[in-house]
Amino acid sequence: MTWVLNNLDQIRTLLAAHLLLCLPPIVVSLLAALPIGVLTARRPGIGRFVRTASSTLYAVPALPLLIAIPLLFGFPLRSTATVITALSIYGVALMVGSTADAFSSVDPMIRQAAVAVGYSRTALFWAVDLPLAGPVLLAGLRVVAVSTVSLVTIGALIGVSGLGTLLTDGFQRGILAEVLTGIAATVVVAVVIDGLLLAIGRLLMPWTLKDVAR
Amino acid sequence: MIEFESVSKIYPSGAIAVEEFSLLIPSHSVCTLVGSSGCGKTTLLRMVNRMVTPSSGRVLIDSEDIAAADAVELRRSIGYVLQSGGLLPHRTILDNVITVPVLKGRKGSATRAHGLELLELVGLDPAIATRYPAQLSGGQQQRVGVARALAADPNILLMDEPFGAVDPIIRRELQTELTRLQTELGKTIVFVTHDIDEAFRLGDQVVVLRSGGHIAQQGTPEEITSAPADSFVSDFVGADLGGRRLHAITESDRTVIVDADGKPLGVLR
Repeated sequence: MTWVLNNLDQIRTLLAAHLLLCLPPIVVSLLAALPIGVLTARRPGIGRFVRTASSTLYAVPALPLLIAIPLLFGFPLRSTATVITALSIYGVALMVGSTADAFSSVDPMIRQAAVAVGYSRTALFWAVDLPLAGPVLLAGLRVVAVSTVSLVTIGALIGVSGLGTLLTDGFQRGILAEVLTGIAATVVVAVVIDGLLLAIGRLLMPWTLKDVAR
Repeated sequence: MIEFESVSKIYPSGAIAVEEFSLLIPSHSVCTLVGSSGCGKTTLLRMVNRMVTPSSGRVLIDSEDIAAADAVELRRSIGYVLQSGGLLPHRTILDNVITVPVLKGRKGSATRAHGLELLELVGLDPAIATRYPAQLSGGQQQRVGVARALAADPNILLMDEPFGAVDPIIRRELQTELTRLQTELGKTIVFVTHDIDEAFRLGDQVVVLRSGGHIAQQGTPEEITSAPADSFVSDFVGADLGGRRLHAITESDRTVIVDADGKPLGVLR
C-alpha cells in the first residue's frame, strides 16, 4: 500500500497510457469485424475459410507478432502504433467469429416477416439484423475488451509503457508490491470496461432485460 | 381484386409447388385457401406480395401486373399477418404496430396516436403499447400482428395461418374478431389455413387445394359442404364423417341437432 501511495503519479500516467493503448484496438475490432462477420454469416463457403484464418491468426504468438508488425508496416519497433496494430489484429481475429455467430443467430423467420411487411435491404440490416445480433455481438466484444486490456501489458516487453511496465519493472527490481499493483490495476481496468460495455448494452438493448416494465 | 393467371412455381430442384393456378378474388371479400401442408397455399399467398416470384404466369392486383411494381413499395401497401404475429422482438408493441407508416417516413405523433387507436380496434388495452412482444400472450401477439397489418390502411390483407399457434378458445375468439373487423373495414383478405372449419367460418369464398396448388373445389362454404366435387373434397371437409352428417330429433317441444354418433350439437330454433 505504501508503494502505491508513493508512486501514485507513476501509476496514474501508466494507467492513462494503458487506456490509450487498449481502447483503439477494441473499437477497431468491432468495426473491422462487422463487415467480415456479416459476410461470413451470409456465405457459408467464405465463412469456413474466414473462421479458419481468424483462429490461425489468433494463434500467432505475441512476441513474434510485435516484431513482425514494424517490419511489415514500417512502424518503429517501440511505438504505440505497433502495440495497437498487434492488439487490433488479435481483436479482429477473436471478434470475427462472434460477429458471424451473432448474425447467424438472427431468427430467419423474423427477417422474413420484416421483409414481407416492407423493410428494404438497408433498413433490414440496420433496424433488424444489427439490433437482433446485438446481444451476441456484445458478448463477443466483452471477451475482446477483457483480453485486450490484459494483452496490452506485453507492450512493456518491447518498451511501450502501460500497466505492464509495473510488472517488468517490478520483476527487474524485485519489488513485489509493484508487480501486485500492476496485476490488480489491470484487472480493475478490465472489470470497469466490461461493466461499461454491459451498461451500454442495457441502454441500447432494453428488450433483453428480463424485467422490462410490465 | 386479385387475379392469379395460370401461375406456376417450380423450384430449381424440380419440385413443383404450384402448377397452372388461376383464381379471381373479388375486392372486399374474404377468400380462404385451405389444404394440407405442401399443397402450395402459402406459396400462392406469398406470390401476392412478391415474397415468391412465379416461375410462369402473372399475378394482378386491380388489373395491374405486380411484377412491374417495386417489391418493397408493394409489400408496404399490403397488410401481412403470419403465424405467431411475426413481430420484431426488439421493438415495443406500439413501434411494431406503426412499422409500415414509419418505413414510409411518417414518424410523427399522429402516427403514434393512430397506432394506439389500432390497438383498441383489435381489442387490446393501449397500456401495453410500451411492452415488448415477449411479454404478451400468443393471442395478444396475434392481435398486434393484425393491428400492424392494418396500420398503413392497405386494401389487401394476406394472412398466413395467423391463428395456427394459439389454443382453440383464443382461436375462436380471434376468428370472431376478424369477422367483426371485416364487416367494419371491408378489406380484400386472402386467408391461408389447413383447418377446414376455420376456412368455412371466415371465407366468403373457399378454395380447397390438393398438392401442387391444384384447385379441388372452389365456392361458398354452403356449396362445398352440400355438393363436394369429389371424394378428395368430401374427405377433406369431413362430409362423410359423423361430424357433419347431422339430423334433428325432437324431444318434448325442443328440436335438438345431433351428429351421426348421436351426440347433441345444439338446439334448433
